Amino acid sequence: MKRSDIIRLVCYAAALVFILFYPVRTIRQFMFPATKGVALRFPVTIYDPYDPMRGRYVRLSLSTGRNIVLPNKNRNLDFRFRQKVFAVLDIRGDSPKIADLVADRKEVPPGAFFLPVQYLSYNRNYDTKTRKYLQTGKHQVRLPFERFYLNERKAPKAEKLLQKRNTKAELLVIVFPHGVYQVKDLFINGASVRSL
Amino acid sequence: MSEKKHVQWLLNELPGLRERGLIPAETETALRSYYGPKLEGGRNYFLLALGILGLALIAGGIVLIFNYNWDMLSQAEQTEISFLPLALGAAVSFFTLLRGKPQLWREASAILTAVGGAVAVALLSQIYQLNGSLSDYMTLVLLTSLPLIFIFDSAGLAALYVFGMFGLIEFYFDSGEWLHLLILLGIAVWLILHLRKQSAWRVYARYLSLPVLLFVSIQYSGRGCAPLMLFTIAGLFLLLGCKLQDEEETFWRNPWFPASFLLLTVMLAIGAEANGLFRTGPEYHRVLGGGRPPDLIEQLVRFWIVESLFLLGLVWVIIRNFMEEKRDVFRVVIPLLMLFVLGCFIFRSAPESGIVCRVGMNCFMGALGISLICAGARSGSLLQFNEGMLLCAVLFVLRFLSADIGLIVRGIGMIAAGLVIIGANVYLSKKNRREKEVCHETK
Repeated sequence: MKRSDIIRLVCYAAALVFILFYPVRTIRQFMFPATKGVALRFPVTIYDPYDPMRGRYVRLSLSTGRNIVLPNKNRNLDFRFRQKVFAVLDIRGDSPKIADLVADRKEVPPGAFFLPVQYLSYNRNYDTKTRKYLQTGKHQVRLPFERFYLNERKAPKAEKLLQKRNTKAELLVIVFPHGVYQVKDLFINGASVRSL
Repeated sequence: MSEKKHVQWLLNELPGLRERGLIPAETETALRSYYGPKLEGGRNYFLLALGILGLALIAGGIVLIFNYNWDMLSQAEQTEISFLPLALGAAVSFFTLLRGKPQLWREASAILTAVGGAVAVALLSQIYQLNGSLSDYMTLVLLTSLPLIFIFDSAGLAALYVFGMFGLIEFYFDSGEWLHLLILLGIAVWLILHLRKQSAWRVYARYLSLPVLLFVSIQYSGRGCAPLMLFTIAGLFLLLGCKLQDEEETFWRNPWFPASFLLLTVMLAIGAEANGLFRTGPEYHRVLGGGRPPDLIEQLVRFWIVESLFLLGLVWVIIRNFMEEKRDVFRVVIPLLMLFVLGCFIFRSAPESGIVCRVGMNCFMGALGISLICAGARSGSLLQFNEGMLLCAVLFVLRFLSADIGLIVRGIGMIAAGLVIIGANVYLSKKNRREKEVCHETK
């Protein structure tokens, strides 16, 4: 064996460790989490697109990210379109709400659960009496979970079910401290979509 | 068996012959230095391209097969399966390195390992329902592929890497750009290593540098002043293309020259028409009332890091040309044009700078075109002559179309311009043929 090939072999072993680092860390993070996460149910509406390589998934539309009113930050926060910010969650009610938006992870209050989100826009309130825009308004963000992967036979069924009136869909997400999250299941009228 | 296969066989035999004591090490080195260059330059690119396409299809097919009824498997089984392509890549790679297999095996090893890693990440993101952007995914995949390109010296993986870089582009807000710069520098180092004369991949590397330049233009030029960066790229690669022409590289082995000449023509044409050409990037945001972007300084720093590298390269080539006393049309006009462009950029906020820049671009276009026509006619070079003709024709069309004249006059003018181009080409070709015949007769 040539000396150059021995060097290549050692470098390749190191490169393989480098390649494996992220997948192994992901598995460790979700299979053996260091700290216990909190299970949250986000109300969603869904439709089913098709990914040529990854098969069927249902695309999720989450109301939690729309029309956010932040009592302490009831103004334009000067975030840019699609800027990565952190949404601090209020998990006290039936469904989680966004309590605050911060640009830096360090600004998240200790012990609070949060998610990395994309900032979309700030819509100023309109006063119909004076016919003027006010300084107060609502924030729009994009939550990090937009799709739920399904068996290709189940996705159209799920969509058909949701087209019916009074159907309630919820996405079960485990949110761990440090902003890590795992989409666990999708429930339609209380039943798991996997059992369709 | 072709001659190259014979030579390859002989070169593969040499280590064994030396180890058995049949030939001394000096003989091996002498034979290698004599026969080695015979293998260069004539790689079967078609077969290589087919091989890469085949591997990509196999990888895609594997993903689709596992995708079918994927849901029936348990999460642990899904996780195990997601590592199979990577395990296959690792097995092939270890076999290749331990057995000292030739380049085709190395290409396969590099591509299989990189694709295996990419598949593992993609499948895990599906298994654990992780969402993310294409840019984040490509950043991870490209960073993990980069070492493999160097370890296996893989041209195939380098090509996939270069085209994968376009997946990094995010038009709205990009937070991982420092990593993108690292990804770019990685492939730039590989290309520079292979652009040297002794590399067998030098022509391939020249072609591969073009999409890299396109990526750089899209990703970085808009962060500062796009026309400045595009003029610098065109100027630098035009001069490098001239150097390759001097070394008598054929047209198809020198893609830099036509590509950079076309880019320069387009930039000059835009410059000849646009008033505020150098008022772009962050200033443009301000003009539109978009305000100052929060990462403006970072954007500008990244722009100037890339732009400075191109400018340094350009200065280095200009100084080398000056020292070697090479003075042809491009080598004289390009430094002057770049000085003018830099002047326009520095004084872009000055009153009347727009019109000065526009007039200057018209003058440069005309001067470069006429100089090239004269130089081409003098030396009998049809290529140079037509480069000049192209520049003059574009300038003529630009000036002619923006002038307030009737359709009939325009029509007659365009027919006349076309006839001049065809007539001049016929005349020059006949002149060249006559000169060749005279040369043959005197011999």
